Amino acid sequence: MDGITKILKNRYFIIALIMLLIMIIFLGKLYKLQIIDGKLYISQSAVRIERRYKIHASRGNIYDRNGVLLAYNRECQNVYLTKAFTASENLNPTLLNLYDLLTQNNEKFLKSLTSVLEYNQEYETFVFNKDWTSQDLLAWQTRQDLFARAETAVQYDANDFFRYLRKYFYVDNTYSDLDAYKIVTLRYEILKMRPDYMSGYIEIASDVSLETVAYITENSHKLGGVSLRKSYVRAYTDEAALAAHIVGYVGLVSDKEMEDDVTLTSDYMIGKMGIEQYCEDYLRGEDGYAVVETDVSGKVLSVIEGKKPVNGNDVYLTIDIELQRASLDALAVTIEEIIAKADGTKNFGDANAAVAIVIDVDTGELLACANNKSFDPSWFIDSDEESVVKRLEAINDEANTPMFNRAIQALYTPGSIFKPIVAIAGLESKVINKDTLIECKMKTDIGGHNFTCLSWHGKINVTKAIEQSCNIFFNLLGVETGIDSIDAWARAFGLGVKTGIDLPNESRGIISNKEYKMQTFSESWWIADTAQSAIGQLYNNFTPVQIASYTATLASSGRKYTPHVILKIEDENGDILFEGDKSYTEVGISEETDATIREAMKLVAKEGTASRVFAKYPLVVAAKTGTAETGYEIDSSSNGLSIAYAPADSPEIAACVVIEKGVWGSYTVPALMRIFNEYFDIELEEEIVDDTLVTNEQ
Amino acid sequence: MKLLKNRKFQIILIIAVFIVVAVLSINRFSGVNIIRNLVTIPITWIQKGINKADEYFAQKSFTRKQFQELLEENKVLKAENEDLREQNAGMSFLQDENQLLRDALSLKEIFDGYNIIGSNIMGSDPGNFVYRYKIDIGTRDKVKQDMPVVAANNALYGRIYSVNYTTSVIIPIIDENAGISGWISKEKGGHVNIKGDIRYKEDGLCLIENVSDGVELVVGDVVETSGFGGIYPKGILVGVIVEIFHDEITNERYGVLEPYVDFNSINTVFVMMEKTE
Repeated sequence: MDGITKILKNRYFIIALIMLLIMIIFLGKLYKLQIIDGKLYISQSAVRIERRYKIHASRGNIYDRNGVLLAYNRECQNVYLTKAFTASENLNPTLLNLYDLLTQNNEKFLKSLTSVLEYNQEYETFVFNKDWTSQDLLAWQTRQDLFARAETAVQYDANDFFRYLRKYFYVDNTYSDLDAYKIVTLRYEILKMRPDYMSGYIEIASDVSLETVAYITENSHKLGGVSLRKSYVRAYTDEAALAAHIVGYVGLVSDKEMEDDVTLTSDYMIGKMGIEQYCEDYLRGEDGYAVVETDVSGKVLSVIEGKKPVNGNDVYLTIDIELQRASLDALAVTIEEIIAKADGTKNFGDANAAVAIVIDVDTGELLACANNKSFDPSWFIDSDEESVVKRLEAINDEANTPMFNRAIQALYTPGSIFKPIVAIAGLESKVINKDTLIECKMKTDIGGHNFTCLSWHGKINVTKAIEQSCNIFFNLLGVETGIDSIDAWARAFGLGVKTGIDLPNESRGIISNKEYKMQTFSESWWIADTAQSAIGQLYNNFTPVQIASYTATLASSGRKYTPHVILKIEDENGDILFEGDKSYTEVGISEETDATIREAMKLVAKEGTASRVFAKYPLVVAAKTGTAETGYEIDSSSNGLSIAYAPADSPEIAACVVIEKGVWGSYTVPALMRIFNEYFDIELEEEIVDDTLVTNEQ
Repeated sequence: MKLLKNRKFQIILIIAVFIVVAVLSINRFSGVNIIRNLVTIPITWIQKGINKADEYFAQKSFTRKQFQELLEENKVLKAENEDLREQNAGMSFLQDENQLLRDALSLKEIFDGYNIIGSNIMGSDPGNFVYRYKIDIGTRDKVKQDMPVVAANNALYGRIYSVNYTTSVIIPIIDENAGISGWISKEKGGHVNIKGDIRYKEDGLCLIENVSDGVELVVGDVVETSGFGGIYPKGILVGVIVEIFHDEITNERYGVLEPYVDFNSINTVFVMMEKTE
């Protein structure tokens, strides 16, 4: 005992003991740091990972001719997932946390698995999409880039397959089926984009709310591998909705579009309609990229290298959005007036869809191109419930077809607005001169068919015939002139041929001629066909933009411009890359013919079928109306059309109005007047439309 | 070689090594943080042991007479000192307590929905390679993970990282694992993301990133918490922008933020507990 006591009292022993204890504690701490937590700390402190991501170019803006913004890029925040080189058991809680966050904040995020495999919470069971056949399931589960299952291992029972997915994605049994489903849903997205996930970032949610951004920022410790980055999404102003068919909209790139253009990837939003589609190459720009150094959680520490994106170019439209607005208002008011006059015999109060086009006669620029049946491009971008509902309604609205750009795609029988073409053909082929008289006895027989007119016009010349829109005169003149000549002049004025407007999906139209009849019906041409075609009926079917262009050509004494909606395209430095084509071709009418037609159309406005509106109008207008039978007149109104240019003697603009089931051409003329009021800044002090005036309505 | 075999020399050498390491580790932001963090607790004990040993040997080297005189003198001084201390102790304690309560009250007035609990910083937590600070309240005091921690001047300090029964660890806002949803309150202000950043934490700074185009960053702008992130309530002062830079490739703007909190000097912090908690 004495020996032990002596040792215990030895000061060197005490010091050594203390040191030993310290060393033991020290070693214990080192063991925890180096052995237990060492791997984690090393990874956290030392590992720097290079990742690469694409920097999308900012899409060019779209403006009206006066610089009014129509389409632009709204800044947004996107949520990205990347491989976090932290403890692997953290991934599932992170994904669950993220799924719940995005769901709670009503964010739009990738969950494509839900389109195949759904979880029915009520019955706590899994079901495959009922539209998926066994073949679809087989193809899906055996895909080499996904589950790569052997054909014999394919599971056709959704619950069995989910159990497989749980195991496949390492989702242990501590998670409920619902939570496991959420985790699996996001892990499926990772699986689909695994290369990007490992070496870059995958965009899991776009355009998220401030609440989501703030939560992810403050809770990054619970969301390893989740990061935020600023991006841009297409947005449209309220004014864009006034010209939706022109502006168009963007949407996610389709598989076919990716096949056609290998530079596209599935995350692209590209133009699907209108200028957004037509000018895709100008608007899109050139993407850049960044190679960044990140820490283990995916947080960017520095940008190592990269390429700055080249932003898209801005497109300026020829459209004057205020004139566009006025045109739409003019259509709406005029349609209301027509409906108010419903009589149940000729006017069934069913006036509905309408188009108004205003064109600059000296350039071919479309100043307005109004479709009253339209949509809001924002519906195709925004993900809120209202937008989604309206989008689906617009797509499925078969009665009004608001997605259909009537201005360039719809075909309308022109009726009497075609008569100036026949007059030009007759005058230019010397079948008649301006004084030649042809007798109208209200009816006549041509080729064994009866043709009628609304009035007994007696012997009239071509000017009077146009003013009064006499059918018999043009039936007979057409026959005398011949269909080939009429056909040639109609084509020369751009009717029945594509105008070449700078918008996608323009219709060609139909011109009533021998060739068409033979090709379509395998029938020979009859003389009565010429008589019928000469009053703008039979097979004649033109788009409103063809009719507007034809009117502008009449206004400019035969100079035919290509109608266009692109004023110019500028790069981000303001340099002009493209300007709308202002060149023209001469259709080749003589001065005499031109003068005759101009005079006749002025008379239409002064004394003829448009005189109720324009007789007292403070501006001299040249016009022509047309009423086009549709064949359903027993319980449906005819289509009404009108064309005009003004000022008649030195025209600036030409316009056409087409109102489906607008009853009479003359009924549509007030819309023209309202458009002219806006363009020429005319404020009428009193009502000038005289409904008591008796005229031919056609 | 003979000297190396000398037992006294060996002991002194070992002690000297520990002292050098301990001295290097004293500065919180020195370049030997890793070592410091690893050895903080053991070194503290070693330091204490060394001090005691030093005292012991020093005493042994005095003559008995000198020691007796010093003891007598010390007794007199102690008696005098005791009187003064008794008078002062109560006052000083009350002053400290009063200041703590005043600070807590002023924070409570700003953050009505929160209970504000004061606590002392015990030191940095040596258990990691990152900046963490230990405070003297824990689950016993209803502290929970992710509770915000502020300084007396309504300046954001960090959040609770982990909790024990009597202590908790704070992750400060300059740590690279910290993130704050911030707000710049001015006409062209708005939301900003504030992150601790490995490049700036050594200087006690944070980084502002992911700045929206509509937000104007100006040196001198004050940034506070937005209240949207779920951890920090709105209106806690985070710091002031001291630098702005721009990345040409990504076209991103960044700001460098100097926190209002001086992590080197603050000893008292307040944990904010939502009243529902």
